Amino acid sequence: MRALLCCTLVVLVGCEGKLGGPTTPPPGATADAGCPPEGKNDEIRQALAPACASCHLTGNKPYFASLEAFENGLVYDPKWVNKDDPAGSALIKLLQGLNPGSYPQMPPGEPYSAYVNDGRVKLTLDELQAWIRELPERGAINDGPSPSAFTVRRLRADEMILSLMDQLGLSQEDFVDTSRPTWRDEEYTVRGGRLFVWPTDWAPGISQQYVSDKRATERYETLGGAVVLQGRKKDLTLGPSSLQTLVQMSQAWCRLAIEKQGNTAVLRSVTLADKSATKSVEIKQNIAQLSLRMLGDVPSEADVTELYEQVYLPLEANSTKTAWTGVCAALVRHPKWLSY
Amino acid sequence: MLKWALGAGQVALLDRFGMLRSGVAHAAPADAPSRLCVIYVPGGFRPQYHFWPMEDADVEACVPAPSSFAGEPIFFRKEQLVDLGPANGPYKPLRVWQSWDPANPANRSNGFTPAMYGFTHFGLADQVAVLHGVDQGTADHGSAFVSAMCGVASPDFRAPALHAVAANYLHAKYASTRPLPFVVVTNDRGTPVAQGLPSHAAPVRVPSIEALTPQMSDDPMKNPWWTGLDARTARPEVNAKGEPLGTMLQTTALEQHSLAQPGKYLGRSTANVDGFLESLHGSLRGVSRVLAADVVSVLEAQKGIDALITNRPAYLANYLNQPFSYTFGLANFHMTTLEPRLDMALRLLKSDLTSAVHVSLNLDFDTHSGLGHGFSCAHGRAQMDLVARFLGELKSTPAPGLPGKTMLDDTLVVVLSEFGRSWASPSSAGGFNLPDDHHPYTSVLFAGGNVAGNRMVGSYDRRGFGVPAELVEENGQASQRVPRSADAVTTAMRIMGLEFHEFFIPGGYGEVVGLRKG
Repeated sequence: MRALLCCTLVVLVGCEGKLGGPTTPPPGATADAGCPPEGKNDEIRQALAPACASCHLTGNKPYFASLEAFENGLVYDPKWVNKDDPAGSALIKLLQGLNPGSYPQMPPGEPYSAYVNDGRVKLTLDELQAWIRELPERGAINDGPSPSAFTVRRLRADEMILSLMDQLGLSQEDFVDTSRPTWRDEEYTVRGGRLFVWPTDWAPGISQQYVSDKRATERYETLGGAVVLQGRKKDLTLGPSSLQTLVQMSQAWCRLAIEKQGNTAVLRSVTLADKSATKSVEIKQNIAQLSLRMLGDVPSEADVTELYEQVYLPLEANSTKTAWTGVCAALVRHPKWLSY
Repeated sequence: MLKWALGAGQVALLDRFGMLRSGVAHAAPADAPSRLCVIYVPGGFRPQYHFWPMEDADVEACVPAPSSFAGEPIFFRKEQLVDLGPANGPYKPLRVWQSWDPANPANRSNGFTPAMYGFTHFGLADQVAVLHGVDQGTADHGSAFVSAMCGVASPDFRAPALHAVAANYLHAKYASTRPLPFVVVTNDRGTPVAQGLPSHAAPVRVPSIEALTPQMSDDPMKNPWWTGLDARTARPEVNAKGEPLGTMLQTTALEQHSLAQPGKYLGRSTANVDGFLESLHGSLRGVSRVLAADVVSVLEAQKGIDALITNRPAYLANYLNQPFSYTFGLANFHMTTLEPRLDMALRLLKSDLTSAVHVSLNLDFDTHSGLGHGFSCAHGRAQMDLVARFLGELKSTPAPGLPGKTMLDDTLVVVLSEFGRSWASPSSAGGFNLPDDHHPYTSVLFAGGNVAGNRMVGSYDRRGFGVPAELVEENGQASQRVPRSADAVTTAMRIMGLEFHEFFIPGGYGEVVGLRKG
């Protein structure tokens, strides 16, 4: 449930050349609080900051980290801000508490109007819609790296392993023989037929006591993990070797999660007995839920339909297990999952 | 792959030199090989004990008196040096310590050892040359490894490794027939990367034949998670923007859906994020290509080590049966662990699935010990004999599609370490000081097609520092200076048929004269 994590860190950085020394912005303030806005978009960013920035200053949706991040990640993404339909923009709906999906309201807890009413923010929803209506044209996209840009990075190998296990309702016990009570302190004996992936440096024991299937640690390295004891650094690229491993891992682990008794991580609204002929609505609902779980974003109807028509339906002809393995694996290979 | 992590200036510079694009198909020199194999020796070796680079009179100033290490003869006198063949032009021929018994090269008694005889047994001198006295620019293992691979000493790659450059260059010609353009078999002490190059030039790890199936097979009988997901359809291959590439790609329904995703996010953020998305798309295409080609079946059916078994060289009679083993004393040391990796490298080269292979040997020369010189001499020479056997295996294999040519003719094999180790020097007590630390000067062996054989170029002074050699700089001007790692990389690229403008190494680079044919 990474998407529910809300970061409250405030970065103590002054605005360039405008502050004499380090200051502590009030909670919810952006890093450059106190600096004059650099235009209308920046004015809006600073006005929204007291309600939004405490969670969106860092993390995977750092819209308030800088003006560039605000513009690249929020303002000029039609998913959030639609100039042709200000009232229907997801940003407005969220602030009204009317957004469809798992996150109907932002900020969570209190509606935005409460912030306006008690003066914590001064920007009203009407003013916000007026800004959207008159949204300035986007300038040229930055063509080089910038410390203030909204950037992405690939997940590291250890993040991939831990988050995928968590999202799919899997654990070490699904891969490692636990018949001995001391299994956690000894060489891991990998269960037959399981595609285990595990860092060498995390395995228990010393002196050759690691994992019975050394391919498990080799796969960790191909995913981009470091082998510290041998001086090999992590690979920050997402090359064919990483993808080769992830393609196998995504299908093997998704299938294992579907087969695991009592595990509802993948199949929440349907069972393997449900087929598209009679349960298409539920199947699409499950795709939407799984997509939100894996990618941290409420999928659009078009996204759900695409997964349903291009992946689920063709594979359902084989079996529903195959179809759900395909849908699940497609989400693991998605750019948003890889750069979560 | 790392395009998005590079500075705009670097990206522009790489693009200027055409490195962000595939190599443009053009006529390479007739002798230019179509494969590159890099054999890396970890820890820093002492090449002066393998191929004597200096005047014979220098031996007594730089090489301790003959003795033994773990029952293996070590060190030599100038009278024991021999040329491996007649001189090839105005260059010193390959000159080595004849440690073997000429009457019976297998003899391992009376101070004889077969080490290094392999170059003679397989008749390799005509296709082997050595560059001596190369300045790696650092004495740190990690930075020197990077320096050896890409020509720039740095903790992280600032330029693509030579394998990646070669793979990218050859991709235009072999895109449809070599689904694994660049393979890393083993990566002791580091992985060479394709910094800034397209994803098809980035390394794929194939550590052994056992690792292949779960990694690269879409056969449901072998990997049950492919059940029902393995049906492929041939479709026109497109890039992330949806532009046709003129080739066909066999994809599953799931893969086709995944390939459609990165393009949706193009143009939404910075150009470097777009680079990440394009690379992701390229890597996904590469995975589909590998799976569709069923490389597992091809590699499983391909014999790697073959001639060394069916026609076992007589000079190995007193070693264990494994083709890449050697022994010191009666049983003081047995090398028994290299077959899987060298077999895998040979399978990859012989199967014609790849353009570039990186394989490391597994004995680390980073000894830091009073016995380090003995270790370096005994193991170093034995490991060079393993290199000779590897070259011999390639020489005994016909090159696919090239009648009359061998795999060695069509491959450039580069053997190197990250640096050398400190040199021995006479002590005031009449013996030798035997320091055993990192030393930034080293040697590089080139073997195979388009190599001007039986030559040693460059040398060392008596302290082990490189001396000036003749070079042609990137702008075409002749110069004379101590060669650097960038020049060794450049020379390899030039042997592979690349022009100066077809690659780029930050900080300047030149080709060392005398190592390439013609």
